[in-house]
Amino acid sequence: MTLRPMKRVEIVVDTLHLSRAIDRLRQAGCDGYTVLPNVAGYGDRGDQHADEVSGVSTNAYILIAAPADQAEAVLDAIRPMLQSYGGICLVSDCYWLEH
Amino acid sequence: MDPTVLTQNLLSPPILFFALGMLATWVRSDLMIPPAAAKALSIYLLLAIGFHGGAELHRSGLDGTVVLVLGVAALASAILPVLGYFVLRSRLGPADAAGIAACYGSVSAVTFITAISFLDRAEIAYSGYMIAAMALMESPAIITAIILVRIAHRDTGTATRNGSTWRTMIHEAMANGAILLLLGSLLIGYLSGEQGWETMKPLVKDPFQAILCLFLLDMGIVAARRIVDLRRFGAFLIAFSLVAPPVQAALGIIVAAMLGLSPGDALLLAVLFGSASYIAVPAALRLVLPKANPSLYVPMSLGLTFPLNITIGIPLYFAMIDWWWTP
Repeated sequence: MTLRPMKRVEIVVDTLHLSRAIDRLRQAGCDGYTVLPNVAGYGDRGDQHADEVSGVSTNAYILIAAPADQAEAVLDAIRPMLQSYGGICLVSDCYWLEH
Repeated sequence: MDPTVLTQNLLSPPILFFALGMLATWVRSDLMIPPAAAKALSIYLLLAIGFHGGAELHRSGLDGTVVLVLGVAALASAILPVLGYFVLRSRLGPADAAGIAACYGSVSAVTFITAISFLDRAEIAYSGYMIAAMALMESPAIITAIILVRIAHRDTGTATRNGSTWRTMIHEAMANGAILLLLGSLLIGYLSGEQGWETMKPLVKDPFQAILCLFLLDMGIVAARRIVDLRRFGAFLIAFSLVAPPVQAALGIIVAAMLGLSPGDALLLAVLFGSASYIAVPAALRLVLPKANPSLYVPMSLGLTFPLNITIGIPLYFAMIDWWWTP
């Protein structure tokens, strides 16, 4: 069993900004991600109930596992969006199970 | 006001289903409409109301009065946020004041549809072009809000360039899915004429009231949750949510009288002036005015103004019109 060291990047943005976030990730060279749509939560913008037809109160969660250099490019790409529109981004170390 | 008008409205199926939705949230029931189903219901309502309006417009034709009413409606949507903004600026920053003002300058399609349902039940005629007026009132308020914020930032020397160009902003204000569907359906209804109406009638007319009930059941569930969010608001914002709608509706009634509209059209114009957007404008604001806090403008428009308008507001505005229009 081989485990390769990677960076785990978790991003929460509101659903209305999801497509822009994905565009930025791809432009930054991100070659894989997972999206969980319709995510609820609570933060600076109050309760995100994930229950409105407008999508205003609904978040999306993006999970990325990437090598350190690619993760850095992803963070540089996503930071301006978070500054403008809000959201969070967490980075941690992880291992990828090679298969 | 004739109390039977209010009673009849409160005891109509759409309002009772709305109340059932609120009750479900308050008693912590597991009753819910899946978000995807609620979205589909909203798409149906916008398509049906747009197509119906287009067909009516085809029958009545476009004349000077229609163009005048549409122009006044669009202008009102651009001006109303300015009034709200200056009231709100006494307590809020420019972005939050502009965000709320934009919602209250724009319109609530569901409130408008509920008003149409009220007129249908009372067998009072209205013009199809009022639906076009609604579509035209969705966007100007957003653009006014952006202008107000930019002026405020310039005055305080805090102007920033966050990459949002005018082109992008106008695109977001106009290309919103709800607005596009409404205008597109209106155009299709207009172009396809009587033949199109006969084809679509079984879908857009017959099940309309029942589907409105289903959608309002969901809106009741969601609105009750937003009322809980309102607990942290000060009295000022709660008062604004309850006072601005009748004041703006009264302005709408005055404008309707000046334009010589029929009682049915006057009620729809009053509702357009007095309602607040909680679907199209909040979605556009998150893109073009992200500094405005949605946890203020969504609960205000959805948790207070919307229930106020569909329960008491519509019969109240109609009573004012009935009193004014009766010789």
